[in-house]
Amino acid sequence: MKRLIYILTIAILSITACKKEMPEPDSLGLGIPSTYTNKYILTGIQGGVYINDTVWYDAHYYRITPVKVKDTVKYSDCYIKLDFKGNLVGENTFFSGTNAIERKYFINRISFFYICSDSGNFFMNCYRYDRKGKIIEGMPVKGQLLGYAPIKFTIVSPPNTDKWVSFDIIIGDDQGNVFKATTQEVFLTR
Amino acid sequence: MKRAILLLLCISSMYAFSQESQEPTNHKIGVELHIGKIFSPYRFYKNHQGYEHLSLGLTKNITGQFGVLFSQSYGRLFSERTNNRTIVTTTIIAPYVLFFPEKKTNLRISLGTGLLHLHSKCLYDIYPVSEHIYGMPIDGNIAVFYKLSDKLSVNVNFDAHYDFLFNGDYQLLIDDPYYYKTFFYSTNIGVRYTFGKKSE
Repeated sequence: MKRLIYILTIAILSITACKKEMPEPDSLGLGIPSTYTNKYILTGIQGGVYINDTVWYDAHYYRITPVKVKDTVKYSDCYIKLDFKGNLVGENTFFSGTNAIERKYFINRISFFYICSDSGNFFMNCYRYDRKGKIIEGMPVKGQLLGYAPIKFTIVSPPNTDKWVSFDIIIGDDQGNVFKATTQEVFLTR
Repeated sequence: MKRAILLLLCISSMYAFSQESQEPTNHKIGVELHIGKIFSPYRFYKNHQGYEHLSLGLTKNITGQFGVLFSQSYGRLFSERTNNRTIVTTTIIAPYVLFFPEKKTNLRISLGTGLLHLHSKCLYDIYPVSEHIYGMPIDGNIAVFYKLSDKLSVNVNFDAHYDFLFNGDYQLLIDDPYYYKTFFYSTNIGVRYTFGKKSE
């Protein structure tokens, strides 16, 4: 009996010791997960209006089509995509140099986050995170970290009338940095 | 004749001094200072370059062969990829064993634990981030001493610690339990001064 307990203990310890530890879940069981996370700080932003024609071609990525400048698009068929540029500050060293795809996570803490429209009546000049009427979905909240890039905002309310519109996105962080991006101008219909 | 007596006195005094250093001593407390280089080959810090490592130690002999080492160390790392500077400090208490206490060249092995403190700072001006990380190290140290005199000795040593970091909401460290284990080692040279008097 003693010998059996001894053998079992050794076996469990050996299996535990040989078990390969990984920093991110390997959902597909291929040895390396398809994506991994690195941490960044924000240095610039870029925004655009895209057509909502999501087509899956991989487990995590999908095709997106930017709306052409001055093109006409229905409000429910498009969305605003905000992309971030930044400096690497926290590296997931396990996956450096592997085939896994990097996902950028931005650690800037949000102080304010506006999406404004140059078309006064539609968004009443400025949409703030603390407004009650929902016009855009997916707005980050004050005090949160920016998180993964890109961020996608869905327009959930129609404009009063068909409009030429472009969006200004303004982000302020808790260190006093302000970043601004302007999307292309599109003709937005109800 | 005078010259012969003088020579005899010289030889006898040299002999007397050499005899003195061979006698067993009763030194209880020692102070050590080590200077070297730190290395970080493991997990989160593996892309960091190691720089200077300093440690200050206090030893207390309990018996001729066994004792306790209390040490405080400092090391500096830097990553060019992430522009992060990390200061590694450990406070260690470790029992040790001396293998040849009566010889000029001595080997000491210690194994202990204590507290690890990592202070990581991102050096970008646009968004300065710094964080304090604490953990528990398992520390091993191998040192070879060479006695210069009864009280003073020099040494080379190898120090390594495997660390278990405490859970936390870290910004610069990837928040995954995989990175909550880390490992550092250093190679050092140092001096040791022992206090106390010879045994009767």
